[in-house]
Amino acid sequence: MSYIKNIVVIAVALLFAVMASVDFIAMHKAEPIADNPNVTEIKMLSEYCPALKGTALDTEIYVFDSGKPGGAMLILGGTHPNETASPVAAIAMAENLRCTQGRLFIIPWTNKSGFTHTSPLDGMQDFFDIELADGSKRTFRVGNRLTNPVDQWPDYTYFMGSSGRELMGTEIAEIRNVDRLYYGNPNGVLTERVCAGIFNLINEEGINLTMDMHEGSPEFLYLDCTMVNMKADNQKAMSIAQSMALDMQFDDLDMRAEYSGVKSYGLSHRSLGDNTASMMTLMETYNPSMGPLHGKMDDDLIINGNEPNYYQAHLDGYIYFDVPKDGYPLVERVARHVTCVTYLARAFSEAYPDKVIAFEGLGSYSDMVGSGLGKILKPVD
Amino acid sequence: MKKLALLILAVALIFTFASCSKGSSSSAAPSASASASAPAADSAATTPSTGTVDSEYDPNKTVDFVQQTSEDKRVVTIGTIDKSLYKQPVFVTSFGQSTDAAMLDTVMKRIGVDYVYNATATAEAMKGYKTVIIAVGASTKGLGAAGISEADETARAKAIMEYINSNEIEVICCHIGGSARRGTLSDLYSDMVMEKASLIVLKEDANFDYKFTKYAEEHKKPISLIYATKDALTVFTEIFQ
Repeated sequence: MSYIKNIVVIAVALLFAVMASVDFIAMHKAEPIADNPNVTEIKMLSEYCPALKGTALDTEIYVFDSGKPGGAMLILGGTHPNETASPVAAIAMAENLRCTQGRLFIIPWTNKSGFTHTSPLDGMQDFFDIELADGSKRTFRVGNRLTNPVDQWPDYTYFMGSSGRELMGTEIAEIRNVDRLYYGNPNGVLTERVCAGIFNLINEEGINLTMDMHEGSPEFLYLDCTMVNMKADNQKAMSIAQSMALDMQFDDLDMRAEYSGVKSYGLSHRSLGDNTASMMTLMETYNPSMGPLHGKMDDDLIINGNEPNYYQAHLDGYIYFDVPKDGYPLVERVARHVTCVTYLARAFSEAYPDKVIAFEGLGSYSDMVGSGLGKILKPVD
Repeated sequence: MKKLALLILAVALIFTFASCSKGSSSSAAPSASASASAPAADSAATTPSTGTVDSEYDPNKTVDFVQQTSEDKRVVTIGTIDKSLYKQPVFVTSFGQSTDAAMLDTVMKRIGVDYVYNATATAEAMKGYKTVIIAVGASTKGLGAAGISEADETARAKAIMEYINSNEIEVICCHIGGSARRGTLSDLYSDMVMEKASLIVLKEDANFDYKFTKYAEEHKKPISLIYATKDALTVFTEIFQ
């Protein structure tokens, strides 16, 4: 008789295990991106790094070619999948933009493997839903900032990246962080191959300007900030970034530009900036769901970005960032990324009239916030 | 007893799986989750947030500080600016290699001023210019990006001030980086430039100890206080247009 109870308990446990597994397996399915007739081609990153072909880290590149001579811009979304505004902004741009001069390359899932797992011990959930204007629903994955260990394992005990960045001890898990391994190695660990693919893409396509979109937890010191790699002989880069920052300030959006850290080896803005001809930038917005002080994790926190713990911490003088009382909704963070990209491209084009990069389709910051993500994102089957 | 232990283990297993599924985590374990994009272990990330060399800014010191500018009153000028002093062409440079000089580059471009911008210019480059605008504020990252040591930057600044002193050049001291650009080295550059400047433009939160307004009052120099960096555009538009 006793063994029947044991079997029942194990069966119940297995039932829950199967239910949880269904959730995890669902994370391996990429969210669809609505068709945009202005996309001229969808490439794969493995075209620039063949060693990625057939792996979980090969990822789509949405190409917009205006057919008019000009510059080329690369936009990286989802370098860290849990920085939600980044992939959502990239998807919103892939679905809505039209390139009117030059070329635009958008990667929505830069670390595609990172989208296939989450951080349950950080209280992070795996999916969130956005209701569209037509009443349909789109589901997005939250993901993890690192490559799924199922795809890249084990983490070494010591690692020296191509840029000279050493990883060891508690930092060794960063061997699965795309934004620590630039400028990559086509024969290295899988995550490094992504970096090598992006490095080759920049060189082969003649990318002039790159934006790597990120978010940070409220404790992070570089929020509403764009990092800029300024090569010693090119002070134009910072002036372009400051022009963007000034434009954003006139839209009443806090924004500042900072120099890329001299020793930020392996980060996109430092190591791709040092080793390619592209002007490299990286922007961060505030995401309260990423910080350890967050309370209940649910769609409301991810979409409305309202975390009273952080507001109180700010009032008490513990958080440098000016935490908004009523939250920092995802639509505002997405609109901020798109606006930053737009103003950066405009400032770059003014500085280099022979390399104009121009696009349209999402309107101004206030247009986007007014529309809401429900109208910005398109229905999908 | 054995059965009880088995039951507890099974329940624990169920909760483990359940906690991994969607939206279940109301416990929100406050683990040591680093900012995902933060270069948490990056050596460069250990520099102060603003890139300031030696910030001595203490928010607690600002308790008694009363700002004259506000969202509604964005520019406050104390004293009278003699606009006729500032002839073009203008030279824009930096003392301290902060990002503020690049912001001035943008501001000048937008106003349509006849100007040249070179953040690392030598004294000789000032030859022929009637007005020099100097963005004061030291930045570790900026100095690093420009490949200049603090000593070399200070020597360059001194040489430029000597050249300006021995020539008929008007100087505008521009401190638009706010409280982040306060500290020993930043203040050294501010002091050097304010001594010769006929106008001080200041983002007012940097005046938390009244250093700049006191200096302007004692030396009878006009000072334009601005609420935000973008308000520099208003001040310079007034001067050059």
